[in-house]
Amino acid sequence: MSTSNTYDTISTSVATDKRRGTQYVLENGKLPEEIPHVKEIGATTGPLLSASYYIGDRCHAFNDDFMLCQKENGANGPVKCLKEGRRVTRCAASVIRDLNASCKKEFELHYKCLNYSNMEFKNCRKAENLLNDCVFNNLKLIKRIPDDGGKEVFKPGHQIYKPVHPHYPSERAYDLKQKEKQTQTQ
Amino acid sequence: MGRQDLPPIKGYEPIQWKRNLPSRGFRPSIWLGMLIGLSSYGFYKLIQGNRENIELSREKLWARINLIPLLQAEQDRDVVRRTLSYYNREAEIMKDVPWWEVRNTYSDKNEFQPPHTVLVGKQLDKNHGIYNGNSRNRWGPDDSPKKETSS
Repeated sequence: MSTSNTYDTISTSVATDKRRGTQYVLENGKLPEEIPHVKEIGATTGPLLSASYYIGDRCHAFNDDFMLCQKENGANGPVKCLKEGRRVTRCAASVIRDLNASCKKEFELHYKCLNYSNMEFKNCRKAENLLNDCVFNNLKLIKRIPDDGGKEVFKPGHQIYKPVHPHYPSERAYDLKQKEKQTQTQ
Repeated sequence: MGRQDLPPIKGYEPIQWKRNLPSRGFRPSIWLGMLIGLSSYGFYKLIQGNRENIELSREKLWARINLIPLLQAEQDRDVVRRTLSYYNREAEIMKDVPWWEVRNTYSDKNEFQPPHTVLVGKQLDKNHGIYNGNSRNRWGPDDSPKKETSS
């Protein structure tokens, strides 16, 4: 094991520190006081991917603002756009919080399905349908793919391909929901 | 003289020049029609499937696009934090040199550029197996309590 540092950039996360085996990282000072602290989102790929379209729906304005700021400021973007970045993070955190508050069951089902099926949306249509309904009823957020010309692949009955490895818990939950709907209409 | 062979009175029977086999299958035009029909259906389904695949990849792409600002904001905050920390440390080390100025050394433009070097120490002694298990931690005081020498 070499005793000298051979990495030519600063490491950018705790994960990188761990991978590099740098246990005494000296750049661990906090941000200055005048920059307000914001808690990081702290969600993994599955939940983030599951919530992404709702984040895109609610935080559209903040996201655009942040990306435009980055574009205007070029290399100074990271410093100049801290405020916009904080807004983006807070907005996304609010979406995740609301999902956990009102659609916890469906949300968990969907991200577990995504985790199970290699983050492919196409394997999780049933869980996604349950989640979309719940989110629309409670939070008024819609999943919308821009410029899809009216074919909304995520809606039921709009797919040709069937899931290769269905996620059975979500299939069962979907069937249960359909049965409930039928009994309600009768 | 023998008698000459003559045709029968009513003439010969008509010669069967056509094969007497049962006709199998449809007319060729029907086969052709079936071929065209079947392959049209196949191509229709193929194109539908390709379009669905395009939509699926677009769906993935947009999911990522919706997340990019969030991920980048987090990353930027961390990079800025580490960079400022680096600069503070540099200022602390060089505080006795009056002409020293902490700044981006990679260009004359006043741009933010995270340092390409990192101040780092590696802990050599923890969990290091047999061959340097008893060596000293040269980056700081040892974690293990020192043995009290009897005096």
